[in-house]
Amino acid sequence: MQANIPLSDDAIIELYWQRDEDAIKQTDTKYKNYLLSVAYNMLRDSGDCEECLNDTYIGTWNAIPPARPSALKAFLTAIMRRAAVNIYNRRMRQKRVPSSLTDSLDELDYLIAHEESVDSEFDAEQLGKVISDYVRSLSERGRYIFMSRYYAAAPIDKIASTLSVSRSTVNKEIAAIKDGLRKKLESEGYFI
Amino acid sequence: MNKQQFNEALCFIDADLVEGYIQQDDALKKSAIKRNMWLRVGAVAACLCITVAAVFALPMMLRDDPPPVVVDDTTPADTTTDTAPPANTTSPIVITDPNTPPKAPLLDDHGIINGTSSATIGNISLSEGEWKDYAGNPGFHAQTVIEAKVIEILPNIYLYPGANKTYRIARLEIIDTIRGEGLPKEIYYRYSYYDEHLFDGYDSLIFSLEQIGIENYVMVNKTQGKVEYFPHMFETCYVDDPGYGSVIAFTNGIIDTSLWRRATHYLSTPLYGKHLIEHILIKEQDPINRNNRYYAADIGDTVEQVKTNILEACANEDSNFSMFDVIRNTPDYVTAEDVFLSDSQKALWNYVSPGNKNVFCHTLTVSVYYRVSIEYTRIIHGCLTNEVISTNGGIGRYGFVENRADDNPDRYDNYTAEDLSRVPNIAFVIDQLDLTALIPPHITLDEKTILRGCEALGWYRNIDGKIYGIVRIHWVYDYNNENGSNMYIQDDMYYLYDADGNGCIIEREELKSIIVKDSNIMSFKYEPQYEPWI
Repeated sequence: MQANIPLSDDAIIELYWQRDEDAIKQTDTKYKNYLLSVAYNMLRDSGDCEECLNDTYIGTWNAIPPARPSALKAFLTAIMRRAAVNIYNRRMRQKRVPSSLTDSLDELDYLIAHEESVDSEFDAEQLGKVISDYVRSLSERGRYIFMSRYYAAAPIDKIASTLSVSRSTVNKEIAAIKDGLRKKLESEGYFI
Repeated sequence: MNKQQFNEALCFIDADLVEGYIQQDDALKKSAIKRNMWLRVGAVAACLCITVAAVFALPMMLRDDPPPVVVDDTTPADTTTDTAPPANTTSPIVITDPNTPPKAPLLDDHGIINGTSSATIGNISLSEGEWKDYAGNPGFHAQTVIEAKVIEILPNIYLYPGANKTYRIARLEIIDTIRGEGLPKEIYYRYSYYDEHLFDGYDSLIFSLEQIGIENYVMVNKTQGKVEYFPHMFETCYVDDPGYGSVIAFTNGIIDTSLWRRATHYLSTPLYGKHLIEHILIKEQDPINRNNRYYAADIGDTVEQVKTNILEACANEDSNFSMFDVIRNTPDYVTAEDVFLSDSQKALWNYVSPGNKNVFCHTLTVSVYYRVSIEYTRIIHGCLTNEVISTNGGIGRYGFVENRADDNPDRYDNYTAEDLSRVPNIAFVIDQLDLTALIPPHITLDEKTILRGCEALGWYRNIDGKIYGIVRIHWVYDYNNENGSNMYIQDDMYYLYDADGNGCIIEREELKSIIVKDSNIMSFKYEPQYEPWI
């Protein structure tokens, strides 16, 4: 175990702005385990997770500057997630073994069309805004559960453990969230 | 919109929602850690008589690493990970050692398992030869013999408590009983290694089976995380791999060897199934070797011809060919009614039957002359305990003798309701473990060591009136020495959990001093060894 004292987020961001490659090393020291755990929830393959991590560091290096994120961890999470989604999609095309992300997306089966029925141009950013509106309408716990389950693809047991509630409580909340999401998507014209 | 698009849209969720989520996640995890901190220190030290410093210094001592560092107060949350609790109550020390045991929750529903009793990555078997040596040549081992159709393969994956092997369970409809009496119309049959399509497309199959369980036979549904009870259970004789020769498939009434071609278990070695086919062909071509290669079926045989072969061989007392043998154990169906007759036997039956916090798995062994042994083991959260009740003896008028802890010092007498009221859920711990992230604590990993596999196994022991949970992590690595010989190296690590769910890493020798005669605690040396047999 290395005895490294991590820098503050502001100091790390400043390294990026100075184009000092130590920024990557500091990011790795401070956030590697966390980012790998985010990727692992979605991909369940250590090789793919490492690839994701590298993509995240490259993405961050390219984004800062001009970005100067106010919350580095959240910024990295978003980039990591996008990288993980890309790898996930690639694996699905190759029909490789799915991850717990598949489980969380499968929960939304009845809301979402199958591949064959999709025919119109799709605006991910616009849908992202609709989902954001919906998430804002949830309670604090509901928001946490939604983000954990669908954004971070965390297993239900882990969510229950973090919230110190039972698995069935989480399942009930998810059922209510799905119901609300269906109504929101319908009202915005996304229902199939 | 499809799932992929929904997933992509989530990437465009507003940044402040992501920030809020991460802050909330960090805060929740920090408060969970603080809530359990004094319990962890006090309870573990009290239970195990290990000092606070020793508990948290232990992972570091194992690897001879520098001590943990104090985190900068301005970034208190940033270096915590999902598996990194702080080390003591006086300063925010953060341990980033991935080996640190996670907290075990306490659950009081013993029928439902939130977790798994074992987990594996890769292949931890030391040698193919170990398996081959036990089983001998593939063949048809005739005990209870039936012709049946596969009605259903249950959709989930199953485990048997205490074992890391996964099973599928099929429901068979018996068309004809070739050997054995009293069988029900439908039976449950478990098999290992293959998926739900192994038996697809065959009109019928001949199975040679042994009954391994009576009513309330427990299997752990790994997919759903719960215990399930079956009215009985069968598996193929000697070796539970259906590709080994005790299952013969038929299509349009003629033997269909494609089943054996499908059965591709065991590393990359093409199969015992293929071996079977080759030997049948050899038999045809080489009559001198006929007796040494005799099998119950030949290419082109009909169902009726195979049945006749089996019955003739079973009737011949001298039948002992390399690929066909008759097992002299009773082939008839056994039920609880046959076994539990006297008042004391019925009392045992009531004790081990499903009830409030009572979950017992069992193994039935039927030998010659209707002698029956059943061994019951209490399980908690799918993991074995040391409450074991053996019955030795017969069925019907032969009766049986019940053995509990008397002659087995590593077995414990009855777990009480009070014992069971507070139990750490180590199955949950195993489910949370990331086997790819754990680091073997005793061996050095370098360019010579290539991971073959890693497994985690959990079990419970009642020690001096308290229930402890133990999780064993076991690694096996290929070891490439300069001579190119086949070598391997192993490592193991143990977590010990007290009744409050607090866990610490404990060395094997220390664990052995606490728990006497536990075969789950390993004994190998932490140095390269030659493969036992190839």
